[in-house]
Amino acid sequence: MASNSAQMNYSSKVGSSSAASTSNPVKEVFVDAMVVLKIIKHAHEETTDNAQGVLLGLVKDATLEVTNCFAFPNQNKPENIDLDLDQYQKDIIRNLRRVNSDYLLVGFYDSSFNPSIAQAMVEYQLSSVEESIALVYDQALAMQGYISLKAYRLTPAALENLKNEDYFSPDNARQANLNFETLFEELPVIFRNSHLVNSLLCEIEEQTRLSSKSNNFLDLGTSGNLERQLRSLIDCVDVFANHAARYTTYQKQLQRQQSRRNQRDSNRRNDGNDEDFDNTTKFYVKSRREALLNGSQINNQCDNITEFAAQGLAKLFMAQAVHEKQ
Amino acid sequence: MALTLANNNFEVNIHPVALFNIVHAYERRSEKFDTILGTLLGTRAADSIEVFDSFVVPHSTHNDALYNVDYASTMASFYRKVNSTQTTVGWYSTGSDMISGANLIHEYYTHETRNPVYLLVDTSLKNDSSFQIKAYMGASFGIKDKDRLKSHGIIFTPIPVRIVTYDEEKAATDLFQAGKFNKDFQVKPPSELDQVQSALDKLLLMLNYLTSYVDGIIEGKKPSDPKIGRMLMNLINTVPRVDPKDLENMINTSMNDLLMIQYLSQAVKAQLVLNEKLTST
Repeated sequence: MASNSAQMNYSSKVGSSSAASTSNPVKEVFVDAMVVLKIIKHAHEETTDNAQGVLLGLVKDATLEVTNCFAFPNQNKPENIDLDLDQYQKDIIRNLRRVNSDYLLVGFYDSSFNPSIAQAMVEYQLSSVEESIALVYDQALAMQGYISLKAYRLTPAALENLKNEDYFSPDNARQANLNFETLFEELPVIFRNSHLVNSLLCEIEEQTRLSSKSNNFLDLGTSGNLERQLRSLIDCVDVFANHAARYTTYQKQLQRQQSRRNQRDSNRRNDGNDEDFDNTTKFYVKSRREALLNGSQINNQCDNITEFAAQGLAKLFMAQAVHEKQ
Repeated sequence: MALTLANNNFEVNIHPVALFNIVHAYERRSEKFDTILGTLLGTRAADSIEVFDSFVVPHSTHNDALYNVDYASTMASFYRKVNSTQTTVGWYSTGSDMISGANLIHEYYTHETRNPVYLLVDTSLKNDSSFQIKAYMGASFGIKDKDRLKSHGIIFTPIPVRIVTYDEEKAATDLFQAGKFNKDFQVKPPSELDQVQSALDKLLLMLNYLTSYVDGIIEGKKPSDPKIGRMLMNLINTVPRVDPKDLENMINTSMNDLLMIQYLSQAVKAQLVLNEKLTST
């Protein structure tokens, strides 16, 4: 599926002319080893905030290949506050193009899964490359030796709904069968390297064989990671409770408006009340979308926790078995 | 003759990212070039340089190698925006021998940083088909004229190179090793239980090796080495001696914690679904 043209615009925020297809042929994501190592390096060095950056690559038949990436500087640092990200992106891509690197923006990476990903995904998927993905990498798990790299993409229904900000009403969402589970779809990630890279890997293996503490993974001390994940889950559940409370107040207001309207209708007067009603609806609609994103974040975190707990249990069972043999 | 020698115990520590970057850029070079050049980024300590990253710089070969200095400095400034602690520490070239314009380029880099290192990465795999990575420090030598005629050059002395990794990088490169022997050179990141299994397999392998070694010594087939014997003693002493009841307790409480957490997360998910059903009608 050819979706790039010669007059590619570097910025990802400009929509392109390619027709939006509803079915995406891309089923897998091939990631180069270099991209993974660059993401790891950036996440390791970015201690205060999330590590974010852009992925470059190309689309080939049924796969999306990610061949290069670069990092965004942290905008919360004082020296970077007035950095123009668009300009930075354009300059870097121009420079990379001169050395024959791929310059097609195929997504971005982030080191945590938060709702702002959805908004960014909308822009990326509306731009020239529709199959853009978001790569989420968990830094803390990687320190224990478990590389977790997941690729997400907005489902076509979600894309439609998030595109039009004013149009996101609960009816639309229900029609499109959009709930927090169908917001993102996860794509399988495969690492693939060229021959030269494989020979480099052989050399690296020889030199670093003894220098690893790779058995950190079997460490039974899971509490640190678990605490961190639970803490973020608690935050999300708080937001969730907030949204639920807002929903009930909205319902109450709705009923009040309806009863007032009925009274007014019976007196043949409908003026300013309709305005209030519209405002409440708009406000509620916006918060619905936040609730949906929050729901998907909670879902993702629960999945992560389940995965982590499964690993921990497996390790504990193992330890028990070894202990019993003595 | 002014001869300044580099320190005798200077060494270069490279992270795999820099090497992967070099290979990546080498694979994408245009056809007229055999070698590529680029900058190395990293930090510098008293007796070592740690190379964290690298990027390629376009150059043109007419008669002399024309190095694109603007490109090098703009890219270096971009990288510095992301991580301000890493600066230019040297440069690299690919190929089995040093390139011909090396002294000029090295002089440019001595303006950028104090004691740049020149890394030669052999991507042609000519020397006994291994990936040779060599590093050199430059020292200027020659007769210094009053009129500063350029009759001096740079002598490159080799310094040792080591590959160092963060823990996560090591985990990632171990993961990629499995892809070498795959049919399509592909490797998937393993699921959580697969990782536990593979870590255990590795441990089992190492233990088997050790026990067969010890058996061989007991039966007299292999010569005993007191150093290894002492290390084995240390190893066995690090296994903590815990009362079996205490250990049982610890394992049980951990298991209870994990099961509870799993139950809670399922409960949260169920509540999400319920909420969705309620609020969408």
